[in-house]
Amino acid sequence: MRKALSFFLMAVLLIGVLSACGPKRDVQQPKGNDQKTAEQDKKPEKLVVWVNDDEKQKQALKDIFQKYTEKTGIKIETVAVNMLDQTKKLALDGPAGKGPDVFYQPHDRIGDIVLQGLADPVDLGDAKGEYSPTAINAVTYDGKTYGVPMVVETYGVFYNKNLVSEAPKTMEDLMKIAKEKTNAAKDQYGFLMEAANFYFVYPFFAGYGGYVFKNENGKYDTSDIGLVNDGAVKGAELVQSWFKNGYIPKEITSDIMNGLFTKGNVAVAITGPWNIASYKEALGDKLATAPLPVLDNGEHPKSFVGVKTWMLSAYSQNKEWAIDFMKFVTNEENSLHYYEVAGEMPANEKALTNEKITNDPLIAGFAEQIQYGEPMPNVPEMSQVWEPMGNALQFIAKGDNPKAVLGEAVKTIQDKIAASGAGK
Amino acid sequence: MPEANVRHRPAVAMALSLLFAGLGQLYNRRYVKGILFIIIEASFLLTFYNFLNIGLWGLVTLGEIPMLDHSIFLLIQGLVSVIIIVFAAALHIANIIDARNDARRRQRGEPFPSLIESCRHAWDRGFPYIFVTPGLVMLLFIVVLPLLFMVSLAFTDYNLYHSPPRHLLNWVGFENFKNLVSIPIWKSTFFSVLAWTIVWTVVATTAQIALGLFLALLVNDPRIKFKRFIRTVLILPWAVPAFVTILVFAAMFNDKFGAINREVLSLFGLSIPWMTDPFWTKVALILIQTWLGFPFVFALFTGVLQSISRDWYEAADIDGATRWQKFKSITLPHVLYATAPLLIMQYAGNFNNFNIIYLFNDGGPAVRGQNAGGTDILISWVYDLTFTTNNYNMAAAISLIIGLIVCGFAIYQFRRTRSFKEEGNI
Amino acid sequence: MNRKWKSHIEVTLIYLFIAFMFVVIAYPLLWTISMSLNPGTSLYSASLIPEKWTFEHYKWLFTSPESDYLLWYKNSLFVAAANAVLSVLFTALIAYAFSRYQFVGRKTGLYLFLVLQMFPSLMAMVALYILLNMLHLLDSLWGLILIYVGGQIPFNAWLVKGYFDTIPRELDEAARIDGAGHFGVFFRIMLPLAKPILAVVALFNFMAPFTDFLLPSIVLRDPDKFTLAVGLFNFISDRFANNFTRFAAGSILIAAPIAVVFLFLQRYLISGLTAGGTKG
Repeated sequence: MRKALSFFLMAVLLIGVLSACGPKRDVQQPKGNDQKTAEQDKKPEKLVVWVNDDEKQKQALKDIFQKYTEKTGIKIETVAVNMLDQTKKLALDGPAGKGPDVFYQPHDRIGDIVLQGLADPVDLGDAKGEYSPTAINAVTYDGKTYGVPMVVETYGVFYNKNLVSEAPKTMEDLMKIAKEKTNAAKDQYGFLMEAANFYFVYPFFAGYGGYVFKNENGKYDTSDIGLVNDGAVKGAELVQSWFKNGYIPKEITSDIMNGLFTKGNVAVAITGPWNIASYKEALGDKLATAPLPVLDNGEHPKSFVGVKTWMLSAYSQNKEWAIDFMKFVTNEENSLHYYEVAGEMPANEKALTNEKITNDPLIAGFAEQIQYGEPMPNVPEMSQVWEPMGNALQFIAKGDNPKAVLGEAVKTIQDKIAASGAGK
Repeated sequence: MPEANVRHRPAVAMALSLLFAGLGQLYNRRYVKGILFIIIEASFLLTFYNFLNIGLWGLVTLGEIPMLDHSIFLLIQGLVSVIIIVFAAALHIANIIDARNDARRRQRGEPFPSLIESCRHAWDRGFPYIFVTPGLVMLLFIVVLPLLFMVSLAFTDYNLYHSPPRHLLNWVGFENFKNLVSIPIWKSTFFSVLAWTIVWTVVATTAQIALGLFLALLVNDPRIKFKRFIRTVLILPWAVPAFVTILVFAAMFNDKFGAINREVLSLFGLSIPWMTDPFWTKVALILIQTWLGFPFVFALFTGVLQSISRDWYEAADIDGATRWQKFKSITLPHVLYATAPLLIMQYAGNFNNFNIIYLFNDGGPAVRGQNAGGTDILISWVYDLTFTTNNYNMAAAISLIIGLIVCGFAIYQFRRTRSFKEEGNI
Repeated sequence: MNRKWKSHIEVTLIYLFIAFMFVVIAYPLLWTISMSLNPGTSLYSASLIPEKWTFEHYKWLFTSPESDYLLWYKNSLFVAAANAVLSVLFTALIAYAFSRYQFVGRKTGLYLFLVLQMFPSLMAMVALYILLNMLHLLDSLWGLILIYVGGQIPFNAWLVKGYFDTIPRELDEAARIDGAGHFGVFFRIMLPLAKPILAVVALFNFMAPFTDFLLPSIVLRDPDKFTLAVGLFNFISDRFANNFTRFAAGSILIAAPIAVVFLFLQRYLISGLTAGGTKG
């Protein structure tokens, strides 16, 4: 009896409150956009910027931000957030009103970010020509530019001059080095790379004609996956031969590879420019770099090019100034400064062709490789590719049939894209 | 001294109090109390009306205009509103019952206690409530609210392609659960992961309990010296933060470069694929969990062993019982019976032991034809779904299922343990 | 004679097994220590007995201008201490009510405590984030403490209630005859007698903030407010630039004080847990 009574009372109470429903507002009327522009032109006191949590990068940016404050009087509040965590955090911080005006992302996440509505497009205007076309391509999604590119990077060949006198020009050269110098029992290796990581292995697929999603006129067709075509299989067989011949241990991780290379046990390593600093510290002037060796069909391997880009938060209240700020940070002078301190290659075309960079022997190899590379796809479906492909490479490393394994991986990718709710 | 007043009707008092707190009390001519109640309810409504209004609207609609309404924030506000309303409703019911009791008294012509007396009475009777309230409020908001949130998500379409703020969420009923058992990619993965989760829970937990018990028995042997020192060392793995040790183990178990294969097993000419073969990864995980988990059980059992009366064993000695018989019929029942609730929690904890799976090998190695990694348990699979593929709805649905499985098991076991059986006798 | 020999062999075997366990326990711990003394950043170039001993990682943690280690340590100690004290207080209050009073929803409450521990909390983080945002406690150590204190209630209230149940009711009745009120009994009888289990609860809650990296990484933004676990985890969570040796050094400096506190409270640990978890 008492229970029934209390249920009844609750129901009455609930209905009472529910009946007076919803916020009072006119659904027809969108956010007043025209009023906002006027507000935006007002100079804000400060801009909040999320930067990647990396010591050198933070240090380089500090100087640049300071200059911006001197120039405009706008304070820059810097918050260091690991680049890969930024989207996750922005999705919470933005609506909570704690988000940044500007954040920093690798371009392959742009599709995800746009889909969630976290970033607004940036109108670069005339400044568009100042950035390398590859970089602009990379940050263009659905025909709009999202973000101002800061850094371009790809991987290349590092070699230890103590062990090999010159860089391998062709895959044949590389295999010869691997054969001669590898003595796994003594932890000596001729050639190492994270060969079970799709990011690094892709160029060998693509060099023979493999692709992730068919790209036509800058638009990706996610229903056309080229990871089990003849080219991809050929690439996979090449990768598998490295494991089969015992050149590369299948347990390889970046930490192991870096440890061995800095110890001087590795002749050639394929990895990215983020390792320049620590490698140089260990090997000194015995360290040199080069583009990836040419494949036996005469093609350069098409490495993935990553573009790190400043993006405009959809929640920013100061969009005009945020864009102004992003352009300032990526101008020639500041790009060069950033390169000098943080060691990363600028996306700014003039800076990239500046002789400070072209004359740097360690960077030159990567700068050359970028020409042969292609930007990672920036569609949201890309996030379903990494794991199945990484797994497929693990099986290939173990010696499973590449074609069968890749076929399964592509099937999984398709299933995952479907299961993720795309197109619903 | 009031007289009996048969015309005074409790039903009226209750109806009035139902309408608005305090009105019934005014009808009972309890003016001070009535006005106090009116003020409390009025100020509650004034403070919370807007919040509750938006909250409930948001809970039902999940927002109407993308970019302006954020479904997740609205959902949480809605759930907070529900909790506040339940609280308010409880107080409101108390107010109605109070009106009824007073009205009945008036009807019978009994005297009312003075305000001070009733205050003291409230303090005495209401004391446990006052004690419990601060903790309960925290519990509701910090533990229950997130749980309700998760349950709600399981009934929405929240995935990458329906992510706020660009999109609004929708209620989809049981569709996610249907998909889980009907769409092949979910179905096959779900059941294979569930199977390993159960094996993992049973084997790893039993191993840590067995080792803990065994060591507790050994150290408890009267012939052993330096007990304090030995116990100290044996508890050590518990004192080092688990995430540190797991990461160190992950490095040590590396097939080719790790210390286990290089320095220990190479002495015997062995090399085991700890990280690349699913079977051996599972073995490694169980070994590590045993290492991490036995000290707790050891500490627990050491305490219990010391509390078993000597008389039992002396009686058994007189009967000429062997050591094994003594262990089987005195020690083991005693120890297990006494610690059952905590042991059950050990099992439940391992069922959801995300850290070790994630940090050791991230659920790997991969297995052909399977969506999740070879050593993924349900909770680490949920993590993957949530944070790498943004399938929040499925992750929530699976979390809910996990919770129900573990709860069912735990409640069933708990009801059989002594602590709960005796609960009624207090 | 024969029996004596058998006994000797047994004791030797026991000691041998314990020695074996010592090795198993010590091996990974020693590895961690030696890793922190190896130069470089890689875990795999490290060896159990380093070729070159170096304290550079420790030095970096304490002296480098880029290192916030001391700050993190301070934050962690603060969160841990506040969490320990507040948790004991709130938990004891609830456990007292559940152990000594009859009230509506008591039995349901006990079940609720049990059930609430069983649901995985991974997805709860988003809800906690938004809750803290409503309370304006984001990016604040107090917000973090609030969640820790609330979150530990189910498990520990249950444990402490079990212990309180073992304290004879005659004691509080005697105190009441002497004129003690509700709080009087609580503070003068229950708390002092329940010291072992309260020590256990305090210890658990002191340790928790040192090992949890998920929650703080969602709640905290400002590196000045990081706790040790988040800060250290960031050393190794970068896909391309891990720094395992520095991580090891930082970890040892966490583990050492916790281990000391732990061992110091060992006596309480054993007696408190036993009685609390088992109801005597």
